[in-house]
Amino acid sequence: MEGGAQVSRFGPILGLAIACALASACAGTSPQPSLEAAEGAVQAAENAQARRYASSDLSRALDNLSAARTEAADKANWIEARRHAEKAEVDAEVAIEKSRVQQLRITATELQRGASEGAR
Amino acid sequence: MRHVGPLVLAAAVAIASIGCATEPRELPQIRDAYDRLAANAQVRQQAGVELHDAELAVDRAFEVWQKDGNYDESVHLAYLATRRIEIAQLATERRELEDEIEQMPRQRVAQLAQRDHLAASMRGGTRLELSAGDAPDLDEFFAKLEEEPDERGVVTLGDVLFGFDSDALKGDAEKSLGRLSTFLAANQGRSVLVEGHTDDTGILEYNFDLSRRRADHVRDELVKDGVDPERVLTVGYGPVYPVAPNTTATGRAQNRRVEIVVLGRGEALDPAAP
Repeated sequence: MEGGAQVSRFGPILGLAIACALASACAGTSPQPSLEAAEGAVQAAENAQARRYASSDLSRALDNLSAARTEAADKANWIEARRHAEKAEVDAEVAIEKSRVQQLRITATELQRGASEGAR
Repeated sequence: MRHVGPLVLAAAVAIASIGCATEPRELPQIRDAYDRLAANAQVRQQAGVELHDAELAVDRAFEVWQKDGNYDESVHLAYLATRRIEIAQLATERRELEDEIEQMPRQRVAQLAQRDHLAASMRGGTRLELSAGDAPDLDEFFAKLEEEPDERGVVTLGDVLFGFDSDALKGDAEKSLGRLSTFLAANQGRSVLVEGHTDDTGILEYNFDLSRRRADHVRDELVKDGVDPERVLTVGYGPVYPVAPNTTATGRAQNRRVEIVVLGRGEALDPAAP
């Protein structure tokens, strides 16, 4: 059986291919934890009023999160799903930090204004 | 030799796959950005943790490229590193602003004497809390202030004395302010500082504005009663000086207030002060 010989000859290669696929699948195991972390971070950004004080970073986070969800729905794109989720998480962290800074800038300005009004 | 052939080939392929492809151009960029960040003493001092996170992120991006030759993952990790660098910069600025804000009342104590956030910094003194429903002992409060002309007194007007999101005062509060005006008429040496405060919910700018309007409204009431406007200073602190945690409804209600600081005799406000 020629066909059988073919299979056995390519057996190791096939095995290697499967191993590679498994390895890459392992590298991109379920993006679920990354997705959950991203969702939590985006929620925290919303709570920090990022919509008002860091809208561009929040939009980036939301775009990356929705890309991650889309790719997670198609399991062939688990790696991309995880990457987008990780991007969304760090974008949300930037948005949180930026919101805090913006609000502190306003507070500093207001307090200075209070002081100068007091001096009037 | 026949057996070495495939090994050499495999090694060559491995080297080619790592060595020949060009390094992601993001890698030198993140290294540069990180080095500049780490060279900044303020960043090292104020945002050590965030700086360390950024360093780890940069190292990861390099490692994935240099050890695994994984181009796409390295580019992805470089993005994360860029954002970690931004976070460290922002964290530095945040802590500097926090320090600046914390110093503000103290600086103002030094510069403007009694222009501090007096109600909060006051130790001792006489206090009166006014909120809806109770009949506080106004007589006792003002009698005590009369007895101790150099002591300060604080009258706190609770949130319930104002309309929701409004600077208008309710009837009971106006009556209490009438008593304060009478007291000020009889004690010309005393001035007042009116501080407006809010909770930390909602828009920050709005809260500052609301706290200022409420404080101004209280001053207007006193002035209407004949108090010289020069003796009344107002300031809106927004949510900066809470008296209770903003995590509960009760706490937030306590934080929404106006504090009227009746200064001691001789602590007269000096509008000419810098």
